[in-house]
Amino acid sequence: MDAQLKHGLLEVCVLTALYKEDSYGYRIIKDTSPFIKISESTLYPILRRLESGNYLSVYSVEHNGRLRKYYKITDLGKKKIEEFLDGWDEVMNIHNYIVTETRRNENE
Amino acid sequence: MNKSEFLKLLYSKLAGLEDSEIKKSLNYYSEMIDDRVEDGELEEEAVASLGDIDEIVDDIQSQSPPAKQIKGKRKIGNKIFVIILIILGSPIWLSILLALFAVVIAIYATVASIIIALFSVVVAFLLGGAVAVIGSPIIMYSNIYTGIFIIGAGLILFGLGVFSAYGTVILTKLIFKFNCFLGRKFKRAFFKKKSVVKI
Repeated sequence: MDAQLKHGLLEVCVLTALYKEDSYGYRIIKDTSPFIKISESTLYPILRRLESGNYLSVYSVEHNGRLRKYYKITDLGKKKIEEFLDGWDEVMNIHNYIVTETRRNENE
Repeated sequence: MNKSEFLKLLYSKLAGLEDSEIKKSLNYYSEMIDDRVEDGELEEEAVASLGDIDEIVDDIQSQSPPAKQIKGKRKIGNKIFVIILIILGSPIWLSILLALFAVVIAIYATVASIIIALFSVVVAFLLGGAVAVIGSPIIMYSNIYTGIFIIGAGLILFGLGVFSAYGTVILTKLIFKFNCFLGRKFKRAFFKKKSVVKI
């Protein structure tokens, strides 16, 4: 997938991984791995950006004698997912446009 | 490379960023390695699968602004100031700390002695009651009325013992529970203050 397109999708994917329940870094990577590949080093700046934009909040939970950071989606984060879904029609239109244009060119 | 080597290397490569920024990054990668190990990977494997460390550093630096020089200097000055204060203040805070410690121990000792006293009372009730009931036939030989009286008194004592045993056990459990609760609160407060970076 195109790197720029992937970049935008990643944020929404991470938020989606938090939609049903709070999660932690490693589990976010595992949960989203069937759909999109996120490495630890990619996830880190995404989480930081989402946190500073108030799309998610962070809290620590003790686990096996260490602290694990859990991420919780905020209302703003849920809104971001909604906006992404709403904007998808537009993406589909563009997709259609690209498909029809390039196919027409091929036929010519 | 194992976890501590990785974190040390990362720490050295992040030099120049804000302290809190470095701490956050180290915590994040420490957690990631721990989670991978918990999932069955070897420590070395877990570190290797994080990818190239320079890429990791780039990703972190792209997100966080470098620490300001003046702020850094002031921070170091502050630290020295705090250390000097701690050393100079030691006659005061050390004695306060010791006094607090002594108070805590005194409270625990008091509670413990109350519990011991209660249990002794229970044991005395039960033993006294039992001995009175068992021993009363002997008294009945000399004086039947006194013997009967002693049986009654013994039974009452024994009953009191059972009742107070019940109450004492409940009270002791409550005290223990409260103690555990206090311990957990204390631990949590302590843990929050301490940022966990395991190197």
